[in-house]
Amino acid sequence: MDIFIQQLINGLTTGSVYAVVALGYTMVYGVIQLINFAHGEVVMIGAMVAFSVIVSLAGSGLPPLAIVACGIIAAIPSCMIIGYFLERVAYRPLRHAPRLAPLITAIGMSIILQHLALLVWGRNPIAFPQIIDNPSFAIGGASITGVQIAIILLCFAMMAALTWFVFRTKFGIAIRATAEDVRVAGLMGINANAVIAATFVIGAALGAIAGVMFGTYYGIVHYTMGFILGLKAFCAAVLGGIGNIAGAMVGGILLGLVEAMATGYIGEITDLCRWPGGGTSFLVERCADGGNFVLFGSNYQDVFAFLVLILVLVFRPSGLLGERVAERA
Amino acid sequence: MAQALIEVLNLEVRYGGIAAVRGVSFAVEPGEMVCVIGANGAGKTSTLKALARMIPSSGEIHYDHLRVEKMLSHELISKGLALVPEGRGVFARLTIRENLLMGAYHRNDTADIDADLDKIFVMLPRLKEREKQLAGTLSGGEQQMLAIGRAIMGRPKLLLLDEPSMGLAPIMVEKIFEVIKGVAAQGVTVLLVEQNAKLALEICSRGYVMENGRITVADTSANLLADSRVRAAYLGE
Ligand SMILES: Nc1ncnc2c1ncn2[C@@H]1O[C@H](COP(=O)(O)OP(=O)(O)OP(=O)(O)O)[C@@H](O)[C@H]1O
Ligand SMILES: [Mg+2]
Repeated sequence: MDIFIQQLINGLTTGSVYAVVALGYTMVYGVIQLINFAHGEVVMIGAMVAFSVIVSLAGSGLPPLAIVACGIIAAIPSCMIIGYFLERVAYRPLRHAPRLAPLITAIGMSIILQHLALLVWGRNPIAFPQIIDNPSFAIGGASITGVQIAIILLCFAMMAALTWFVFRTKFGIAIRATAEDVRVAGLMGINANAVIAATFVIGAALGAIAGVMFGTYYGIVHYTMGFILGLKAFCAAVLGGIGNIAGAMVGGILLGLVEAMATGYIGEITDLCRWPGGGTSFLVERCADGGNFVLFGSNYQDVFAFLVLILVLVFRPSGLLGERVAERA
Repeated sequence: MAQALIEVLNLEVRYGGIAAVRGVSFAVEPGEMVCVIGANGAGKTSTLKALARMIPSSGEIHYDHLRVEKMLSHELISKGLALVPEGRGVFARLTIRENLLMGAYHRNDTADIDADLDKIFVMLPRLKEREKQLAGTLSGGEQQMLAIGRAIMGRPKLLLLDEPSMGLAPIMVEKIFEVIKGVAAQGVTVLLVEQNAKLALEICSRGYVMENGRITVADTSANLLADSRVRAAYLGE
């Protein structure tokens, strides 16, 4: 098996999910400079709602794809309502408060949503029903599954749709105008509250679909899954340049790839037996006959996203695509 | 006196403990072109921001049978009240065309919007050439043109302009003032705030002088241009 190509495929899959989740962070940040830390939990709720719908329809005799589609269709409005509710109840009253206040509320909301999920779906990891066939296709010494193909295609379709919406429609342009200057946007007749609510609702809808894809891909959902997924997507948004829509997409995919590559190769790279002089000293016995002495294994997977975050914050805080345009004269 | 298009009564603006506008009253009739002149910090911008509901104020603002002080900023443009803010406020990361379309955000008459876009591009040919360029790449003068064009796209009845000459070379200022005159000639009522008192008084029929948050003189432009105090304080003589 070709590790490189395999990890490319795996990275592209998780990366495109990160990208879609990252869009939710970046759109909200772009307009009100708030990091909606509860966004990861919205994604989790999307996965959970879809889980419940899929399980309850499993015996209904509907075709499996239709059942999964029902799961997604139920998850989307549920998440949109939560997104709207978050903005309305938790953030809007604090719009003009010091920046720290809504940040703390965001964390509070995230805890509340987690515990709501805990009450409804319990504290144990739940196996996400794998009801659709998942054929595997050979490709360049590696393999890609039907689910991976579906996830990648769906994510790219969503990104294309969002790009079209934000750059080609009147309301999309109004979102960008509001992101740049709320007061002047108001002079144009743009209702800032409507725009802000829309960014939450759109981000939540994308997040719902991402949640279902994530559940389908890993086959497991848990009430805390939104935390790490959200945090990684947030890293992706920062990597691309938070507030920048194209940046979130690039950052998400890049982060998925970095994570997959690092996970794929970390064992080899940190195998002391492969290092110069590895066969000598105290390692001799371990390394004999193709043995190894691996410092870090692929269970370090979750570290890389944060490593990337730290590197970006140190070397390029504005992110890859952040703020290169001439500022207001 | 005919029915005023906008009548301001006893307007006050405070920033914390500081009163920036202290009981200002004035009126502009339909079709008039009126200016407010005054030194830095006189309260001109604060007055316009209050009219456009960008900041809270007390006092009454009557505009076209509406009580503006009870309205929200984004409700005004559909009633025909537009402000070109100080410092232009163009959306730097939007293209020129997108900026202009945002000016027409409240309108739904797509065909007429396209026609108005064409008119603006005839009036401001420099913008036409750069239609798809980001507004942030324009020069200061071009941005001012864009800001005015964008306001016109909203088909205002009353256009408030806050120091359109700010930071521009004299030749550019003249061009901008030509554009403003052209807009007024089409029947738009104009309230112009300016530090460039001479130019402002030359194109407006009346003027108000604002000092320390109060209107201290109100007269025709001809009289203001002849007034020795005004000449000394604002015309550099
Ligand atoms: N956001 C603010 N917070 C506190 N004080 C302010 C604020 N904006 C304006 N002021 C003060 O209010 C007073 C009037 O300011 P304003 O901007 O209305 O004056 P202006 O006549 O437009 O001046 P300029 O010609 O320099 O633009 C000034 O003393 C100014 O310092
Ligand atoms: Mg001013």
